[in-house]
Amino acid sequence: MTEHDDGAEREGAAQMDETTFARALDRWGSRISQWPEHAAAARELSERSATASHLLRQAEQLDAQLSRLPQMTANALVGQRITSNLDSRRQVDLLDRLFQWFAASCWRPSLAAAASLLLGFVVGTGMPVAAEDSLAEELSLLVLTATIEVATEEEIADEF
Amino acid sequence: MSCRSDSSDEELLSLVRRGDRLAFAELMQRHLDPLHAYLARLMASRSDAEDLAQETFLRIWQKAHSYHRQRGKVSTWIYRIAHNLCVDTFRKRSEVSNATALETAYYPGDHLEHQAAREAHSRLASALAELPENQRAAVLLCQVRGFSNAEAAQIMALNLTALESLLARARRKLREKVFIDEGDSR
Repeated sequence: MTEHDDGAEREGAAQMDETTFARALDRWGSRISQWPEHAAAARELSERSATASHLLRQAEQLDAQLSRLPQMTANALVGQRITSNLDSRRQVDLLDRLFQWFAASCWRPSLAAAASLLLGFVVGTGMPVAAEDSLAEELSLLVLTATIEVATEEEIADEF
Repeated sequence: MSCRSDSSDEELLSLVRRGDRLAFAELMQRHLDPLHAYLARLMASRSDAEDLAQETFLRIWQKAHSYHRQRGKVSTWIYRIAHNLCVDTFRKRSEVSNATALETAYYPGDHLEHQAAREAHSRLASALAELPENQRAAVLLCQVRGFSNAEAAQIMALNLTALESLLARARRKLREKVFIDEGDSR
């Protein structure tokens, strides 16, 4: 313990009263040596104060009674039920782990691939069919061009 | 690595992770009774305790891969699983259980030699039963199961200050109930 710690401990001893002691007992239990702080101050107070000493004795009795509560053993059938259900749980877990692995590590690349595929499909279906694949469309384009040309000649004739 | 009775919980759990049933059986043998006792007192029901203990161990088998040593001891992890199941059960159930009846059913009385000790046990059991569930869990974990305050806080997903506050209120109520009743009976 450092000199500073000694000082703090002495200060704690000077400050500790029965109320603080009772509060600490409720918080940390009757084993004063295991208290995270103020242990020396508490020991000192319990030696000089009858009230603190009484509180400590009560806390010790309570802790002892709690630690003496009889053990409740489990029915032997519980163990058997657990071991007989292990296989079903592990199968469920494998699926669960596979899903979790997918969800944790593969969802980004999978989403990117799916988005690319969808975009390609949408763009592909929206595009006009290639000219060599559609004779009807080629003819309609030719007709349209001819109409435009005729219209242009008529306009020229009107002008002259 | 073979499964031996002197293997640590961590070693057993790493074997369980690979599907070793012997390691699982050893782990269950170590923890089933204490866990069942904790659950029985917390839930104040033997059948709930058995169901929850069963579910806890099946989850240990199922989720062994999710345990990480950095997060604490295996026992802390096990009680954390059990505690979460208890919280879910408390949310679902509405009836009030009778913990004193549970203690009597488990221990008809002949295990205690003296009348005074029987009465003290009965007073404590009834005082425990009257605590709110979270205070009862805190006392059972720290005083009965021997977890440190920090470990109990981890199990109950609380910070240390909140756990110690629960413990303080619980101990105060127990002390008042046990010692004041004791004084009244004399």
